[in-house]
Amino acid sequence: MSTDLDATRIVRSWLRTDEHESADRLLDNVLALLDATPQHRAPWPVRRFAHMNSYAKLAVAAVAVVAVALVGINLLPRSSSSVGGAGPAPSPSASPSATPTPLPSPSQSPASAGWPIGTLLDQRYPATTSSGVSISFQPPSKKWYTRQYSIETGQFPTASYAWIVFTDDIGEVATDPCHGKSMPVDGSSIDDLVAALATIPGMTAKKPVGADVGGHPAKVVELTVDPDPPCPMNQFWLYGQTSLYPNTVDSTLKLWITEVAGKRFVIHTDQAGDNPQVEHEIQQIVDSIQFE
Amino acid sequence: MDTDLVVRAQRGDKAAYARIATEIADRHLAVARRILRDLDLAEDATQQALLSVWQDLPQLRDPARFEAWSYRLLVRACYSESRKQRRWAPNLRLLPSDEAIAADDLSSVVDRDQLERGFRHLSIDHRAVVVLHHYLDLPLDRVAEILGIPVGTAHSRLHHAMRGLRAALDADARSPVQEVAR
Repeated sequence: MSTDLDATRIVRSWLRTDEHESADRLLDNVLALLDATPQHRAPWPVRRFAHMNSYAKLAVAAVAVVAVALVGINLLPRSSSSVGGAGPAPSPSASPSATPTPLPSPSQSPASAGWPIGTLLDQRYPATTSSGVSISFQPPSKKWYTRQYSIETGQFPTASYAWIVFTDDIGEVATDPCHGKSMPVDGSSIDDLVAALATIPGMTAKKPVGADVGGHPAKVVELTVDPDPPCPMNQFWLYGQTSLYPNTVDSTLKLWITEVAGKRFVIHTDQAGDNPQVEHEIQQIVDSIQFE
Repeated sequence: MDTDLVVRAQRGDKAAYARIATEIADRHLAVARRILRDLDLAEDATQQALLSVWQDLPQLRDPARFEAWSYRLLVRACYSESRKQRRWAPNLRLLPSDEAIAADDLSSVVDRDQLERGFRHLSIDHRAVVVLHHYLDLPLDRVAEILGIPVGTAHSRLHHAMRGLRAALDADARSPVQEVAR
């Protein structure tokens, strides 16, 4: 139906619809952060802004609601004396929503924002998955912050970077990661998922080892990306189209798989390089998990 | 962009940076939104990019290249934010429309839906080329400079992307449907 010219005209017109974005709100936030954001004067290039923690002071509050929705994790400060005085708990009726959440001004008090503004503290945080599994965990340092549906540390994509995603289960594994093709995991046991993960093309799985998560028997699977992956990492879908992919070609993925109330519970971690301290902190967070 | 402002901001002049940021913020947000197709992610990407501009300005060797450099930071931020658009994003599905759609409107409605789906199938690499070229009207050599790729690669990406979008437009499924959030 369309010639190249038609397609170009339609695309150009489509790109120009709803052309009324205003960046005033985020601009205020950025300007307010300047004092706490030193410029980089090092001779080496900077790949990602180094003061993620400062940014996270905004992001934590901004993405909190969305984070709850998208990964099914619900973080609340346990102690009302923490984070400068905790804000009110979100309504229990709050439902998953992709509605943009206003970015709070850094000058807002935690109470007015309703969410801990700042990085996660080294205190215990409760979390609830979308299927109702309640856990709590404790970051071992103040280097961790929340993002949209994960907790992260360090600067992407350096070896200091890692993230942790809590999810109820992984129901599919890739058969062709670069094309988003996948197949259902055959079976509902821990070992079924362990076996399925080892079949993902382009990934190498170490022999699974036994572990313990919050008193529940678990298996740990470690996956690494094979040399010369056939597509960029952001197109290498591990669990089917638009699921998760390794953050970098140097990523080490560790998955803790356990069962809670007869259902699998998975902790997906991704460390973007070799950093023993980060690895240790990931382990500490997993070790800190308690099922409520 | 006034290079004097850029030089002042490089030296740590926050007022100069504020003027720069004010000048570019809306445009950057618009570009990020078109690449990411999500306002929430676009705001995060723009904020990240604006902070990166401030932090990395001292390392910009040629202030005259500020615009291209700042768009490069923005596209990088879009890459980072795009990692969040995954399985747990709200699902969309097609439902028969309850409302009659005027014939004149049908084509444009369907075109938009088809384009949206087609565009979301493109990688961020390809989306960036389309947006920089067809939205910002930048010539492909400038697009290539911004993205740090050869001009031939920019041409190739644009060709691939437009072929995909045209295929989306030409898709046979043209029943009167509306895309709704589940």
